[in-house]
Amino acid sequence: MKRFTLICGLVMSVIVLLAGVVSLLWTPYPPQAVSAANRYQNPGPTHWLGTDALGMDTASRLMVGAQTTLMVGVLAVAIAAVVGVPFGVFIGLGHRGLGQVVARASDILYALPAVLLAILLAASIGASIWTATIAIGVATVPVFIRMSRAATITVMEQEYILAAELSGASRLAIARRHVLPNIAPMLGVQAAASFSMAILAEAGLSYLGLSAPATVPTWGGMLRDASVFVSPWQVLIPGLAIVWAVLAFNLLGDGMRDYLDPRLSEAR
Amino acid sequence: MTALFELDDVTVSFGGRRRATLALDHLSLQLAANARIGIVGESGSGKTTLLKLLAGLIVPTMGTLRFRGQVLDQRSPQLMSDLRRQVAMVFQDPRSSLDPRMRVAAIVGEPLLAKAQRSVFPTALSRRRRVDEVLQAVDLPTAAGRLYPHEFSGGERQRIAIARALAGAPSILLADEPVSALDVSVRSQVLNLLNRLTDDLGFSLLLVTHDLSVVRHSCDQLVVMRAGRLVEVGGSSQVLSNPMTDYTRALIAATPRLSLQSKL
Repeated sequence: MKRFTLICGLVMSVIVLLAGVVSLLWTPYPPQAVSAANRYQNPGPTHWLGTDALGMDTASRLMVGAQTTLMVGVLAVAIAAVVGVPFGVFIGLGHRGLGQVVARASDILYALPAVLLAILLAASIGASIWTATIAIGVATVPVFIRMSRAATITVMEQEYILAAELSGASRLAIARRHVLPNIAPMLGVQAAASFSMAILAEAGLSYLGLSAPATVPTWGGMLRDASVFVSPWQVLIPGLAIVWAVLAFNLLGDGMRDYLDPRLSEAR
Repeated sequence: MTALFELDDVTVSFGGRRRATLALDHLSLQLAANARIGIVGESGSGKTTLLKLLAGLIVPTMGTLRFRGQVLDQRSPQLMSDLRRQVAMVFQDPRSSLDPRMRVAAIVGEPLLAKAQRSVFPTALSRRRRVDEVLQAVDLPTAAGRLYPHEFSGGERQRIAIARALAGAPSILLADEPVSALDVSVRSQVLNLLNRLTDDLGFSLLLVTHDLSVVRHSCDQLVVMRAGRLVEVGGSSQVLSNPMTDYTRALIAATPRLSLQSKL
């Protein structure tokens, strides 16, 4: 059963990844090709997933949209992890005074939703994929601070840390040799979970026009267009794509957590 | 001859000023060098705190601690680092004291990476040789270095922990309940190993335990503690055969294996 979750998540994630990668080389139709004659087509043999209000091929746009989704997700999670993990580990190592400051700052940041940051950035430097990525990344930083702090504290209670201290290892050496390798599996799980949240956030931002420009196909943008020109298929398809991708990375995260459960590692 | 450690009216308390818990309560004690000393008492008697104090991990709240005749506190960082270099520790549970994500060779070799050891083991090769050496000293094959801790039994893991303790060539070995987490069947093996190493390498062994049969097996001196205070101290056979206090008598009576072992 545990393997099943992991494999489901893995297969579903790979499909999203493949859609994005293949779209770099090939799509059924050019994703920007307007065709007035082929507007509002239902899914069928010529257009697999139908066409939108401008007659553009939905399947092609969906594949291209996966690029934005994946890129924003990967970069946002990378920003969050690269900033959040060192802070989290640092305060988890037990620096009381500074730890409190970082923890409170992280709480404040945690209360700021990505949408607000995105609006702020869009208002000051103009909306783009980058402002969306930065907004989602920064809003996810506290998640990684909290998680890596909690994981570090658990590791620091182990006797092998005491043994390392006794043998003259510095704080930095302890963090590098013992803490990071031991919290890495949890960080991986968190990254997958945060990735699915980032996908959802990116879809929301591009729906609101706070991400890629309208000319670039995105899942959120397709959803917005379809809701303006009432077209059930064209709402359903990008909606399902978002659900699919969120589910995929959530399952992947859950599967990884179960698979890497330390209580099972002895038996394995 | 000066004692290895000399505690003079030492108190260690944890927690705030108002609700402080006294882990050591005005304890005065001398511990001789090159001896095998057992420290016994129930859990909560301050045994582990005493070990941490002697390892330089904590300092006395009140009173003085002397190491080889010199006062040890925060104002003597040089002496503190001398002490840490000379002390090694074996912990109760080798499941928790060995990092599950490190190979055995890295675990055993970790003390060699410390600043103080850099001049002794400057190269990776010299460190690897030393790791092989101490693995052999605890009767493990050198191939064990390539494996992870979870691939070993409890007794073998404790040998790995002992090998790590030996790596930096300490003069004092502190053992905190080194066999109480192990199967009864491998306890005597590990204790025999500790005894043999103490004889061969000539270090001072301080062994904390709640099990008097362990003391009889391994120690020539015995310190009995209760609630952070000293109850009784003396040669272990003398204390065990002729206890001076009711508390020690009660401890002896509560250890059925003691009489059984002496019959065997």
